[in-house]
Amino acid sequence: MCLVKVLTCCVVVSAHPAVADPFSNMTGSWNGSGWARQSPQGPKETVRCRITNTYDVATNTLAVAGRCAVPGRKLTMSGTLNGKDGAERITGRWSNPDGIGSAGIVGIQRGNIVAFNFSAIDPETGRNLSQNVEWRISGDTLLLRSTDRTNPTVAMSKIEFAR
Amino acid sequence: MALGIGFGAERLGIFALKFPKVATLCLLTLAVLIGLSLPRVSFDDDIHRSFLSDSALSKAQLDYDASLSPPLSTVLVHITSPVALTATDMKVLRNLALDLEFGEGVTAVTSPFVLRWPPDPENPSGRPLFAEQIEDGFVQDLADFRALETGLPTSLGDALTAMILGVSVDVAQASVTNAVADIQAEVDRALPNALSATITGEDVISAEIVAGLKDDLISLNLWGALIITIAAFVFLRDLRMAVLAVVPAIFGASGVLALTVWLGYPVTVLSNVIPILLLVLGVADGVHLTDHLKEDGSAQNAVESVGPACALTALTTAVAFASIMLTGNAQLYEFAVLGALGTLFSFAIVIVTFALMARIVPLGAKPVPQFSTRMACHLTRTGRTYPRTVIVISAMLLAFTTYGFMQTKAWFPLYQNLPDNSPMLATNDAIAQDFGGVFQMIIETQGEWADIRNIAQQLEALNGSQTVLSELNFARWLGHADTAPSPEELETLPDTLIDRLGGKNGISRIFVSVPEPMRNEQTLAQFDALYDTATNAGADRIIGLPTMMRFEAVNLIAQLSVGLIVAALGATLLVAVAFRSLRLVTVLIVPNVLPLMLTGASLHLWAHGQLSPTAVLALTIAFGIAIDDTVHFLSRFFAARQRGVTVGSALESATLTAGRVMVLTTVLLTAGIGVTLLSDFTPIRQFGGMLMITLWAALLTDLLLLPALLSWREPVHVSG
Repeated sequence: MCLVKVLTCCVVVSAHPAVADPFSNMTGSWNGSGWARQSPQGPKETVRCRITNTYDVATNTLAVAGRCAVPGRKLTMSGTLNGKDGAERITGRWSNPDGIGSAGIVGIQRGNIVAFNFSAIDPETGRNLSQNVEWRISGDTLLLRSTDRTNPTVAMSKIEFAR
Repeated sequence: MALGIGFGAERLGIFALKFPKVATLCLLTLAVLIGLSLPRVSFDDDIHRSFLSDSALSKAQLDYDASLSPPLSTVLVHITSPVALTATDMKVLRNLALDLEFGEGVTAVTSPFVLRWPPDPENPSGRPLFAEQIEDGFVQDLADFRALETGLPTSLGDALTAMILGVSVDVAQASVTNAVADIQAEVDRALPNALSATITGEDVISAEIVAGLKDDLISLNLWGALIITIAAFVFLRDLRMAVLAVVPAIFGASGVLALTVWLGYPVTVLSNVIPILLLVLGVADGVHLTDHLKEDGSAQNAVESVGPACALTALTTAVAFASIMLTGNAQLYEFAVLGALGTLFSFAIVIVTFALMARIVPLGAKPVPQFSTRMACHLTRTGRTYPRTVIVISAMLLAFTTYGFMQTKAWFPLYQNLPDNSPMLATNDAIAQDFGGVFQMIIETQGEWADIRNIAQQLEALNGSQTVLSELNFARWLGHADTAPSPEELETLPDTLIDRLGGKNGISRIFVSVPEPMRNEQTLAQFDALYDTATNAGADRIIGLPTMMRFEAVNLIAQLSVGLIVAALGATLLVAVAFRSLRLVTVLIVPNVLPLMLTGASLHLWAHGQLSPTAVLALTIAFGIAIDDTVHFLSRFFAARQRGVTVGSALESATLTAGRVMVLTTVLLTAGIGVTLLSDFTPIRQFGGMLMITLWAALLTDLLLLPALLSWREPVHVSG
């Protein structure tokens, strides 16, 4: 169950753009596949995701809706990301009733990379789900990587998205 | 004014002749209403409903269905490979299993990839059995997992040449048909050429059967009507006569389809035979009426002379249908109401349409072919010449065929309802071989953990490991088979699975994968052994589609058989009352029961002696056809007798009028019904075959045995 909670945060952040007009470039449907871990000690598990992004120019807001699946589990997710023109700082909010609940996300964008971290505690087990997340865009490919926040040498997920 | 044998129903035709404008207006209005209603004819896609009655078993099944929230249906994807699946294949299949999760309405996908090793401190929900990178060593992992003896289904065949994916679909969100289309598209996209896949499942089978029957029903009705029309033209050698004989019947049968809309009844796998039956009876009436019109030239005389017999045949059929209501089976009620009302409605349309068309369609002068006359006369003459011999042989044949019919076995072969070329047939057998079966037997118990464990273990011993799913599997996986999984432990499982295994009100459920119970004698014995084992081990209820097929379908056959007997007695009594001679009952019984028994006993020759619901329905209709011929013959016979002629002359008169038309209608209907033999569906071929046997048996008994009975010893007294 922890795995899907972590994925919830990873995927929503992965939707953030890192180009001049990032959000508009992010619109559309994306299919992702890769792996993720439940815990730093846990094994890698296969993940596949499908997300759809919708960009509102007036508010500079990207709405994200999608689902991820690991064998035997899947979750539905939704969230929004807000940016300000010319500023590196981004903010966002994610809602996932079955996972971490509602969490705020803050990060920076630089070049074609978005990096951020988030803090979350599994409400059921009390386990620390905090991670560092890096998201990279290259043409029609989005690459998500995350590491454990307490031990950044441990990779927690790697998911590659394509249109 | 006496009502006559038709109880005055033929006066509808007389009315149409007296007030043609009013009748035409009414008929046209009706035609418009029917035309508008036909596109709204609906088919009941839930084949399970056909088995449901007001029995305790049906109620338990309905309670279970209602408890499923959301309502789920499991679609199975059976994947096969000519050689053992490789690590590369497994990666592709895992991606497929994950991609299927994204389908509309899909709530979960079971596959080998959901399996996890038992939990440990580092992995509270267990490590996946299949690592992110699947290597060739997965074969050993799988063997190690099986060695744990949890009994959890691995969804992989022992030879690793078959895998099964179970896709749970919320049918409130997506229909099974749409879900199957999505799954098929995903499978086609993902599967390598070396692998093949077939989609099946309880509801998928139902959907395929209903869709196939729907198409078959429409095409067979259309082709049947066309062939009857062509045959009528060929044999009657008069296009206008053919049109006059067939068009009212087609109109009548269409009216019955519209009636289903007006009554709010969807067409079911049972009721789809009603329009065909009424088409058959309508054509028979049409030929009798048209033949009289050709001989006499007067539409009024045709309606007055033949109409009462036609009305009586409709009434006997309506009584036959209505009598099915007496069986007390809720499911058959709609069938009985539609059949009874439809028969009367169809008759009204046929008699009025014929009357109106007869006024404006002039018939040619060319005589009707004499082959039918020669055949009818030859048979009748034989019956009259050797009455004792014919009666004795018939009695012996009746005894023999009755014995044969009684030896038939109530049987419900669902697989026979699939099209012959359906890949599901072989797939379901393969799944039965590797995974227990497509169907889920559901055992409910309110007992303690020891009881649940006992039942599950006994079922596993009988049906094989990995074919029985219960909380015991998870308790073993957790390492404490002696105690039930705690609520916290069960929370690691998907909610839908928990809901199904451990229902509310302290009910625990055990799911057993089984083949179709009546696939063959062996599967039936296996099912019965499982059922008895579960019952003896303390199961409170045993439900699920296989249980419904095993017991409710057989019960349905029994109910239909009771309905058949009631129909036979009721219709015979009605004819006797119509002719005002209760003594006639003894004369009517043998000629009408013999074709029925003959057809029933013939099931031993071509249906392994299996009495399916389709076969009983065909027999019910068979009796309707048999007694209709008798009514037409007796009507002419007694009409002649009332003119004061001898029994011999009356028989001759009946033979030359009704007898030869009976031969003609038998030939025409055989041609029309013969199209069913081209069907891809065994039940439809069986249905058509039984009707054809009955038609000819009824013709022989009515032209051979009935004259023998009527001329033997003394004539039957009839009061006018």
